[in-house]
Amino acid sequence: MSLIDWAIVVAYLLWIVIDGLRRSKNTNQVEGYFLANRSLPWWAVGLSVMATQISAITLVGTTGQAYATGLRFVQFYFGLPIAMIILSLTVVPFFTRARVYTAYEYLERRFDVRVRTATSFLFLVGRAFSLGVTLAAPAVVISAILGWSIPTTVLLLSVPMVVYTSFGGVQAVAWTDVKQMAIIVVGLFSAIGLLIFGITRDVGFGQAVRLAGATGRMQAIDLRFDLSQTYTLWSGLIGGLFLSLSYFGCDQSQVQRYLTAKSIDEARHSLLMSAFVKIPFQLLILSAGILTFLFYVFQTPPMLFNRAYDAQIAAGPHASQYAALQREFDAAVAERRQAAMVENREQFLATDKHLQDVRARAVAVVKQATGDERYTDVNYVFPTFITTHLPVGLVGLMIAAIFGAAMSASSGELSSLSSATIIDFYRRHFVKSADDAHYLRVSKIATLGWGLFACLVSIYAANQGSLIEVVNRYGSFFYGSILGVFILAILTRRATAFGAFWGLVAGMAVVLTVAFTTPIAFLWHNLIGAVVVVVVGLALSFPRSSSR
Amino acid sequence: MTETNRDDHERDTPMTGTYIAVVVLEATIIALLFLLGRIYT
Repeated sequence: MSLIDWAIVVAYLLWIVIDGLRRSKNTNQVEGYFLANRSLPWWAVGLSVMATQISAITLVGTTGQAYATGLRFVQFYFGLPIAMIILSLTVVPFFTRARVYTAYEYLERRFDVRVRTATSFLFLVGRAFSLGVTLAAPAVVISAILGWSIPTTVLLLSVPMVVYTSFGGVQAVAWTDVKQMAIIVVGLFSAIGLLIFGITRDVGFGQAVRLAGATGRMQAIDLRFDLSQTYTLWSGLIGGLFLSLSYFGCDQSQVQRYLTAKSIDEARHSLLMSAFVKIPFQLLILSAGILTFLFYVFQTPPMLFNRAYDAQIAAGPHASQYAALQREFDAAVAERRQAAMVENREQFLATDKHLQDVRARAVAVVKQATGDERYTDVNYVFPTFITTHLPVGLVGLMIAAIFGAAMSASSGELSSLSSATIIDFYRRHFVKSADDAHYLRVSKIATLGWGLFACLVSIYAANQGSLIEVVNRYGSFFYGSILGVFILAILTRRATAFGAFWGLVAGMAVVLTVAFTTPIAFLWHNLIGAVVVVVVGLALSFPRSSSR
Repeated sequence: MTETNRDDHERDTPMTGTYIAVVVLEATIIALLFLLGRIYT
């Protein structure tokens, strides 16, 4: 990176921290710190909701996925707009009128303190580790691309975020999210513009889209009803619906966002913003991945985008084997380019398949030479394009956008961890009647504490690929089950605290069994968890409610 | 919180038209993506 790019990244980080600290002036009470005095406009809350979902790994991982497989991943989001409508009609007016700080606070009013504490505890455990992963995943990619150490990268990502979140509270989180979304959108459009410019120097845009279509990358919709397939129309519409209902309706990191809105109407508008914009925005990110694939049809790509082991392999016993693969790869790239220029579909597909085969063999060599069985390439595609093909200035802007995505995703999570800790545990179980200044002080300490914990988890997780997978899967173990508890609370009168608590336990047990003993894809776990909790919860509630 | 602020905070107007627009937009996007896949295969 050039000096100008570095200056842009540093200026951006300083701006975010200073502006975040400036917001701390309005947070001299707990309600201001956690809920911005319920005063934010819908568009700011809506952008904050979207920013919290767009982590850095969404930006680099989704583009990489589209580079490899095309538009299919968009199906993951098909349940989201319907979920937003259901939530706008149900939990939004419910939570807003109840004037709660956390989603779980309501469960004590409806059931008992045991149900509230259990769900809040599950949230804290899951979200705390997920926060570490939210920081670790981009840190791994950024450190490899920019040549920094992982602890340095984690600290550069997390220290500014922890500082502005701890001192500025949710107001700082929301307003920095707005800025970070703006940077992400500007950076993404700039990169897409340059990709299209680069591609159309060699062929027309229509021809380029036909080439992408020939490889199957324009196939977004999979109509098969196959429970083992992760991304189909049905898993997206049904499994994705339950995932979104659970995430936006029961996860404090999202609920806290719309509790900051001025009114029920403004909270609804903030969710409906995602309902309108989320799928087109994901299509934009996926398009960037497909355009990167097309760009590298006409420009020579590296054989492997993750170059972390280049030097080690060049100096080791596999050097000649790797060099032979590189020569085979270069020849295949030239053949594919020629076939693409004249739009010879059969030859283009044959050479593309040959290239994939060479890449697969190169990955096998890397794994054999280094012993790193978790070696992957997909997350490095878009960052490689950014750092090697974007002009000076735009590189800095895109790196700032990736930093911004990492910070906006994690700051909301951090603030929600602090609010659940203080409201559902500290104020409920330990210090019940202190003054507001005391709770504000411990809230800031809790935010700093969770921030420190997240840094430690992320430094550890960055070196443990399998741990990242475990934590990601853990989310789907309990999301559906917690949703089931909220369905019992809000949509049924018969459910009792006893039924809700043991329903939750049964739901999690069934989901764990399904996850480890069947090939059913994880999106369906949310539906299974919710259904089991509701059925078991109602069954166990029946004797007690009828005997009352 | 004053009574006026509370009324403002609990402002709750029907948004049926917006919900229908969300569903129509999603159905249109899915249909267009399906057609795109069919055209460019």
